[in-house]
Amino acid sequence: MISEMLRRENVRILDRVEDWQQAIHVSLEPLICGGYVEPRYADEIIRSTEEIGPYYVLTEDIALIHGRPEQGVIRKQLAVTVVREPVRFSEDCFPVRLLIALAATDANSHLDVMQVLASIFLDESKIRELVEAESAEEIYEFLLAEEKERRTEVC
Amino acid sequence: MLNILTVCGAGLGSSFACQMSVEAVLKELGVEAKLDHTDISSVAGQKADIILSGKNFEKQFERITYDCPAIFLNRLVDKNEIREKLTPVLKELGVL
Repeated sequence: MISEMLRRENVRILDRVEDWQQAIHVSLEPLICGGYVEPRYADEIIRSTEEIGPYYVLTEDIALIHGRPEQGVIRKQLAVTVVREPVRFSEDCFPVRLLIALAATDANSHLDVMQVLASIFLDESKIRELVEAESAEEIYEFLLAEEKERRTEVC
Repeated sequence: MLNILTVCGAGLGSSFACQMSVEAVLKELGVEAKLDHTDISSVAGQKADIILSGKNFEKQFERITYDCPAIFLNRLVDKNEIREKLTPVLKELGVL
């Protein structure tokens, strides 16, 4: 659940980042500080990006920054960073403002969280609401409300 | 049952999100399928009728042996793009 995988203080809004490498470091910082991933997780993702391109940029404005469990994941967790000034992970890649850092321990155990995120990724108006949110608190509450809505639908 | 496999670099984030978008499209089309997601290094040898992945992986797929249609997406979670590219393949396979 989002409420278990995302801590309120790990939702942040920043004006800008220098480049895509810094975007990765900044977005993963809460997971590293919280002991959810090893510090090398960021370097591993940067190396994978250099090898195969930014595989985590899903559409305009969205990067779901993640690596494989063996690249340094300790416990599953999320962190959310919005950057006001869009960052590009490669020349031919979409500009991104919403950075969602994901630590997953296997291919499936974060299914419920992915369902909530997917319902946002499919909806441009929800993406806009998140990237244009005025406070981190607003983003956090929006994500929790999305989860609640989904759970009601399922029930 | 139709097997659809979504593929990304790690096999648990982008491919998982893509799988859910594909699921939403299939629901609208009224097509039943078994969906799964994996990483690019595990694709060879997996059983699938259709593979979906990101455009950035198209070159790497040339080096892999797989015997089903592959669709490459600009936006892994864009229902319109998925529907547009998946529909002709589903028709070709006779499920639509």
